[in-house]
Amino acid sequence: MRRFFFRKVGAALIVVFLASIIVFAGTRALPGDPALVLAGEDRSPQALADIRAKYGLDDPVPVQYASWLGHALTGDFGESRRSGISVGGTILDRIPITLELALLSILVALVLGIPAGVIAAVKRGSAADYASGTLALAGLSIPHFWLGLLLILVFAVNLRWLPASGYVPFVEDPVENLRRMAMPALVLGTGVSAIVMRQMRSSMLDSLGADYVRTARAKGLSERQVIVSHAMRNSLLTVVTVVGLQLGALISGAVITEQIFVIPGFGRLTIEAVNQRDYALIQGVVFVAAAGYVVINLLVDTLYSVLNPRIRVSGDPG
Amino acid sequence: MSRIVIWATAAVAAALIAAGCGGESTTDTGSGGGGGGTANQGPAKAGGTMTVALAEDPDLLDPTLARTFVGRIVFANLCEKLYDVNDKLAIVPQLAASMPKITNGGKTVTIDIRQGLKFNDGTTLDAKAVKTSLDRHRELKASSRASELEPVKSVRAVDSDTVELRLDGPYAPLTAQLADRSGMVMSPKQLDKLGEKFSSSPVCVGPFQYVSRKEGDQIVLKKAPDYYDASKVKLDRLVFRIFEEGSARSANLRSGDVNVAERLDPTDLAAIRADSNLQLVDRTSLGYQGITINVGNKNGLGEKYENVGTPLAEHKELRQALGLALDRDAISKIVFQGNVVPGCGPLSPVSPYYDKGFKCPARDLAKAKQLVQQSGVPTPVPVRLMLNTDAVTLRLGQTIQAMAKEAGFNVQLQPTEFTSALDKGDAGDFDTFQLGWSGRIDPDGNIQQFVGSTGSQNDSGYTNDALDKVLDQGRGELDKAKRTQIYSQASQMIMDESPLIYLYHDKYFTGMGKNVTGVQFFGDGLLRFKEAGFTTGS
Repeated sequence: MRRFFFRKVGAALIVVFLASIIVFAGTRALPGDPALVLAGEDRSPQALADIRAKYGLDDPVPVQYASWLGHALTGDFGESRRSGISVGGTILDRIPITLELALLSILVALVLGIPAGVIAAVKRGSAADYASGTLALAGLSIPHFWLGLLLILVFAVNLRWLPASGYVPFVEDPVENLRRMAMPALVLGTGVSAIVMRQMRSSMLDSLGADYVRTARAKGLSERQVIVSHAMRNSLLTVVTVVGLQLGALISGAVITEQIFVIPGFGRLTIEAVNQRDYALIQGVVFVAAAGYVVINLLVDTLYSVLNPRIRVSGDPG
Repeated sequence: MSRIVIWATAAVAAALIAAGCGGESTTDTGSGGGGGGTANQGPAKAGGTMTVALAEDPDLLDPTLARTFVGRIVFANLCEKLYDVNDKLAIVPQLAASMPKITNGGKTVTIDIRQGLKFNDGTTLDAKAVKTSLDRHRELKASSRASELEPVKSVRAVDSDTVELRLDGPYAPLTAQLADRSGMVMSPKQLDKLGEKFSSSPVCVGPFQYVSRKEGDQIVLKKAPDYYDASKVKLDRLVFRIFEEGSARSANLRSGDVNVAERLDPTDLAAIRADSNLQLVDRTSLGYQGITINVGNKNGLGEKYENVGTPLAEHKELRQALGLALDRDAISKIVFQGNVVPGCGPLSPVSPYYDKGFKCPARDLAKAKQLVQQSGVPTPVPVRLMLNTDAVTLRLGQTIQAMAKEAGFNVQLQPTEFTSALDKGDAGDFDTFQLGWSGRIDPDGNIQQFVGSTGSQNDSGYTNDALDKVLDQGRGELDKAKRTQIYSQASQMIMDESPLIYLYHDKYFTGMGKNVTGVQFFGDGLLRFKEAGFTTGS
C-alpha cells in the first residue's frame, strides 16, 4: 500500500513538473507582447526596451524558466507586473472564493435536481415529468452569461433585492456573503441541476424496477418509505459520482459567472492575467490550477484503492 | 414538497422572462437627449463611503512608473501635482504657489512651492522633496516619465520653497507635463522606505490616502488628516472597484452597488438617462479616434522607414479620397447614436489650443472618386483595416467599409485582439489600423509622437520635413495664440497628407447616483472626489 502511494506521488510530481513547462511555454506563446500592455499609451521603442530589460523579458526563455521555477519551488510566484502585488498572496485570496461558489452551486444543483428527478421518475409520463424534462433541457441550454445578466436585471436593477456584484467574506458578514453569492450560485448551479435531474430520474427508474424495491413493497412498506428509504437512497450514489465529475466543469464555469457578477475569484483572475499578458500571474494561476487537479486526482486514486483493494493489486504487480 | 420546487422553478423562469422584456422596454424609453447634464452641485454632508466603478484595473500606483489612463483617475485623488487643470482645461498651480517663471530665453524655469504643506505621512513638503521626485522621474530605471522630462537637464532646490529647472532651450509642453504624473511629488520618507516598491503603499500630498488594494478587484482610499485642504474633503472613504465589462458598470450603477461609474458604453446610456435615480454627465475628450495608414513602416517601428508599396502608401490621392469618402456626422449618428464629436484633426474642440477657424471638409464623394481615378490605381482599391473586436468598433468598421466602397475602395475588416493589434501596429504588419489616443493638455502630446518623423509611436512610418519643422516651432513657442496657429497649420498639413485620418473625439460619460454631489469632472476625463459627497437628506 505504501509503495503504491509513493509511486502515485512520484508520478504526480512528474506531471506537475511537465505542467510547469507547458504553462511556461504556453504563456510565452501567447500572441501580444507583454511589454506593450505594460507600456500603456507610451509605446515608444525606448519605453518598451526599458520594460523588457526591467522584467527580464529579454532573457532566453530557458533562463526565465529556471529563475521562475527556482522561486516557485519556495512558494514565491513573483509579483504581478501590472500592480506589483504578490502573485502567491493574490492566488491564496482567490481560491476560497471560487471554492465557495462551486460548493454553493452544487448545493443549488442538488436542491433543484434531486426532487425534480425523483418526481419525474415516480410520475413517469405525467405533466410533471415532461415539465421537469423541459426545464432540464432549458437549464442545460441557457448560457451562463445570459441567465446571469437576466438575474441582475430583475433582482438587482429592477427589484433591488440583491446586490449586482461583488464579494464579502463569509467570516466578515455571513448574510451579506450569501446575498452576494445567491445569484452566481443559481446561475452556475442550474446547468448542473439539469444533469443531476436527468441522472436521478434514470437511476430512479432503474431502482423502481429492481427486485429489492419489489421486495420492499411486498413487505408492505408505504410507497413513501419505498421511494425515500430504498429507491432514492440507492440512486443517490450515482448522483454523487456525477456531481464529483462536474466539479472540474464548475470551476471552469466559474470563469464566466465570476466575470458577470464581478466576483474576485480564481476564474476572473485568470482572465485578467491573460488579458494583461501578466506572465507572472498567468504562470502562477495556471500552475496552481494544474497542481490542484493533480492533487485531487491523487487523493481520489488513493481513496479508491483504499475502498477497493482490487485497484491497488492491479496497480502494484509486486 | 418536491412538486412545489418544480412549480416554483417554473414560476421563477416565467418571471424572469417577463421581467426581461420589461427591462427592454425601459431601455427604449430613454430620453436620448444630447447629454450635457450637470453634476449635482448641492451641499454635501460629511462622511460616507463612495464607490466608483472603473473600466480597467490601474497599473502600478507609482507616479514614476505608472502608464495607464485609469491610473490617473486614482492619482487625481491620491497624489497632487505641481500644477493641475481647471474646468476650462487651463493649467493652474496646485502644489506650486504660482505659474512657473520662465527666464534666460526659456532655459531656466523657476517654480515656487507652497509653504506648510504636509505629505499624508505627516512629513513636510519642501523644495528638496520636489527635487527628489523630479530626479526619480528623470532617472529611475524604466521610468515612464523620463521621456516627458527629457528636455530638463538638471533640477536644483534653490531654497526651501523654490525649485529651478535647467533646460537646453525653450520647451513649451513642460508646464503641461508638470500638471500630470511628471509633476506628482512623493514623500521622500516613503521612497526611502519602499524604493521601487513605492506602489505597495504610496504616500503623496492628496485629499485621500492609500489604504489597500486587491489585484483586479478594488483600491481603497481614506480621507487624509494631514491634507492642507482637509476641511473641504467630505468623504471618509473612496473605493474604486474594477468592472471591465461596460454592461456590468452600468448594471451596478443602476442597482446602486456603485455610486459613480466612469466611461459608460454608448449603448447603456439610454437606460441610465431614463433612470430617475441617476444623473449622467459627459465631457468631450482631449483625445481622438482615427485610422492610421501604414505609409513607411515596412521594417517595424524605430527602424528605417521605407514605403510599404500598398496603393494607399504610394498614392496620397487615395488617402485623401478615403478621408473624403467618410461622412463623419453619419458615423457619429449611426455607430454612436450621436455620442461622439465628429472631427478631422488631432486636436479636440475642447483643447485650449483648438483653432475655431479649423474646418472639416464635408463628405465629397465626387471628389473622392475623381482622386481615385487620378491615382491611376484600378478599382476597387484593396484596403485591409485592422480594428478591435468589440461590437461597437466592428460596427464602425462596417460603416467605413460601406462608405469607402462608394468611392471605389474594397475595405476588408481584420478584427484583432487589442494587444496583438498593437504588436502588429508596431511591427508594420497592417495596411490601416483603427486606433485612438486619450489626449493630452498640451497639443504637442497629441501630434508629434504619432506623425513626427522621430515620433516614438509613429506606426504609420510617415516622414515629412516640413511638418517636423512646424512641430519643432510649436515646442519652442511659449505664446499661446501663436502656438494655436502653429498647430492649426500642422493639422491642415496632416489632413492634406493623411497618414492618419481622424474620425471623431470620444465623449466620456460618467453616471452618478442622484445623491452624489461635488464630483469634479473635466475634459481630461479624470474624476476628482476632493469635494465630493452625498447630498444632505439622502
